Amino acid sequence: MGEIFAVYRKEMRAYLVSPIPYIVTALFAGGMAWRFFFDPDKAFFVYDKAEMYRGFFFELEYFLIILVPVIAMGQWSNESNGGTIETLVTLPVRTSSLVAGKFLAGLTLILVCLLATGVIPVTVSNMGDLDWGPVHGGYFGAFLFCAALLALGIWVSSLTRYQIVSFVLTLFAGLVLVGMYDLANETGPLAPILEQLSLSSHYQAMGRGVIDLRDVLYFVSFAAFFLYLNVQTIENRRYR
Amino acid sequence: MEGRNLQIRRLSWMSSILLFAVIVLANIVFARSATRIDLTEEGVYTLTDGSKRILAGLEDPAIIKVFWQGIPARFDNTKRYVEALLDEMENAASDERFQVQWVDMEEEEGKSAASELGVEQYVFGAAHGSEVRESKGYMSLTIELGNEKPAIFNALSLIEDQLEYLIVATIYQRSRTERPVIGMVAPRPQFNPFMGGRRPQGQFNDFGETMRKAFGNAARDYLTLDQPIEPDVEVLILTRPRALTETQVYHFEQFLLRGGRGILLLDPVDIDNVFGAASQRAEPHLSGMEDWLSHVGVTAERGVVGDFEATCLFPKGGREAVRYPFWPKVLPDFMDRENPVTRNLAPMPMYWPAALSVDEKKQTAEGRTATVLATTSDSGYRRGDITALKDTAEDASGKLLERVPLIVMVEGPLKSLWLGKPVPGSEPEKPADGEGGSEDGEGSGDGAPAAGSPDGDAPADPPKSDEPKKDDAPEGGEPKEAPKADEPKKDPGKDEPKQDGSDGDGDADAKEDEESGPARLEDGEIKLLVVGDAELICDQLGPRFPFSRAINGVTGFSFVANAAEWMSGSDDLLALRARATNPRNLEQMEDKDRDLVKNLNLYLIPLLVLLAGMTVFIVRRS
Repeated sequence: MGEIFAVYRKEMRAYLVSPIPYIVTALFAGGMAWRFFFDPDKAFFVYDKAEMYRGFFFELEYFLIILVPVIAMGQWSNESNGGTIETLVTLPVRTSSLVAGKFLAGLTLILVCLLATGVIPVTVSNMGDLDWGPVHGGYFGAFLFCAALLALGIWVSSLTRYQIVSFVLTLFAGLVLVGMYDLANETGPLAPILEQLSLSSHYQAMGRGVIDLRDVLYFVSFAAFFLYLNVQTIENRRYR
Repeated sequence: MEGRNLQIRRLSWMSSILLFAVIVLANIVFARSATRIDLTEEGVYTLTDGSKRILAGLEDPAIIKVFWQGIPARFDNTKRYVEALLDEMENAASDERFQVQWVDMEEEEGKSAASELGVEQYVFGAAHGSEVRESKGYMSLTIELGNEKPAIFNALSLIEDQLEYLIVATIYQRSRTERPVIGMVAPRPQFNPFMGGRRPQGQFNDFGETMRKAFGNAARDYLTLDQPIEPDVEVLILTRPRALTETQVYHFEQFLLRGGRGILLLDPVDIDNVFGAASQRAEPHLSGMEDWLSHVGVTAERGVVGDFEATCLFPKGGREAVRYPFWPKVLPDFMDRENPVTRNLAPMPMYWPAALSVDEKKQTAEGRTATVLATTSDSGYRRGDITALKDTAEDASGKLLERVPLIVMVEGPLKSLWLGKPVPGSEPEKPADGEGGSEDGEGSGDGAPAAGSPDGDAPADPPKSDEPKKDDAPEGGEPKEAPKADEPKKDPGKDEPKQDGSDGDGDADAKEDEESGPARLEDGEIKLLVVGDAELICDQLGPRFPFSRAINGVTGFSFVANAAEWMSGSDDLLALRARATNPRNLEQMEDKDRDLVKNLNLYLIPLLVLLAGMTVFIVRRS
């Protein structure tokens, strides 16, 4: 645990002193507010409902597909590019602790970004009788969605020394995993499988305020699998 | 060394594949599990105690057949909800009295079963490559209980919010040994070959359908007031009366006097006055009941009611919608929360309603109570002029803003309006009020739209004569004798009306009944709910109108069904209705306040975050 915390602290310090996380958080919060309140397609004031699903959590998914790769891209690529990865893997720290520390630090930053959008539901609740249940469910779903995508992104980052490659690959994977849901909307024999594999279908159920064990299991197992792959990839470097 | 590394890598890949297999397996195993937490305030996705109680008391098996096939994944949440709901219901019922069958629609057997039961296919747009084509699929369920025709619920995604209520209410009504008979007098739907639709074109079809689903065979729609209402009808919903004849009003009154409960949905100003032919006339429709209502001590005032605060939205085309004062929204704070009918009701839209006024002195003098069940907000007002109702902008200046009564319940003794007078219909009569049946093409005895009526979609039958039918004229057309004051009258709530002038000769009475219908009553205890609007349950503004469904809500359907249920003496289903989803509308805001909210959200947090970043940067530099 101490090892994980040490890595986590190191990563968090790096975030704190870099201007990029601040800019990313500001853009993310502003972008969400813009989509929610200003986008005529969503027309929050036309629908006249104190509810968040249609205009917020549905949109959030697409913002997260961009946000998570931005946060994940540098996790290992920076280390590879800067030549610090050799030092890291030879330290007397377990690989799983390294991966977990990086993962938790990335997740914390995402959590900060999500919290920065918290002013939107607070505003909505001041304008009407907002049911907080679906809001909590939606944020929980978004958090799990991010955890799954971040685990994938960190693993992708461990495969390449170039941040941009890592970003593009993770973004592409995210789009595929979300787009599967739209593909599944075309009825056909593969539709049920695509729908089950899609991150979107599991995330959207939570936005209604229902936390289903199946969705939680999917996200947790998805994240666990890619974290495990990440550990294996770094381990293999040790023996290279 | 190289061999060892290779072995480690191989092991690593094998373990990854193994983990993947375990994860897939775990997900498959849990795929049928429906363990979930419902975070919604009203427990929208959890079975209510009322539902559990009704299902636990099921004596005959209820068979639920679900037809689901060819529906895109975007409806998956609905499917999940249906699965979870039915699982919960299955658990709540004892001894397999609630059986769920997912019909295999891949088999020909499933399709023919759907066709036999009359299950409709759901039509939706599905992407096929780059183009969107119309596709069809099944998304329905049926409920079989007893010997009655199965109840069918199509397009489940549209009724997802009410599905629990609809299923449990259907089961409850069908398993009741004694069912209250609910009657409805409404314009008849008509098939119009020129309209292209398969459905009959009517004004209250959907509500009739809702009542049939909820009350089964005990719901009787399209009754007529030309004859006395059948004695087994306990609650009568009189919808949008138009230029009723004296005979028709008399039959309604007699129904109430013999203990029947009435729900009267007046509609002096309707969509026709705003967009149809009647907009040229600038006169509200007359119901023909004005004199009688005045006798009861309730008046529907001329004009419409507006509200500057609690209003529904009006579609302006495109994505625009504006607040429309003549569609007031009755908010819970302005409903009588003591009365079971309105206790748990969600905000309810009303469309161009009439203001109701109650003559308190008259009520007190005659020993009745008149309770206002719903009003506008404090910013309600009356507008006598019904021209230019299309204009959505109204100026509050110069208007008296107050709570305007919209729904009133009258209970207590009533003496017949025809006390000491001949029975209407015993001589040729005219419409009770000025609006003649043929004057504007309305006023047929059963409320059916007549030729030229904007209410009808098809050329209707020729206007019916208001001449009394032979059957209506008791005792061969002679006025009946009214019962004397000390003669026994029917107790409210009892099924059989007592006869006046009874001499104890049952056979003779029965023969007389057959010939002339129930005897005249001169007084009795009435229970009457008067509503200043009928469009709250009409098709045009009901669940099929997406704007109503998605934005303004269709609470009127629940309200009238609740009222019918409660007036029939049962409140079991009201507990289920309690969980109708609250539309949770936004408070009304000025445009400048909206802009402030938008801009604060857009700039405040990003600026604070950037400020925090700059502070860290400055601190580090210093």
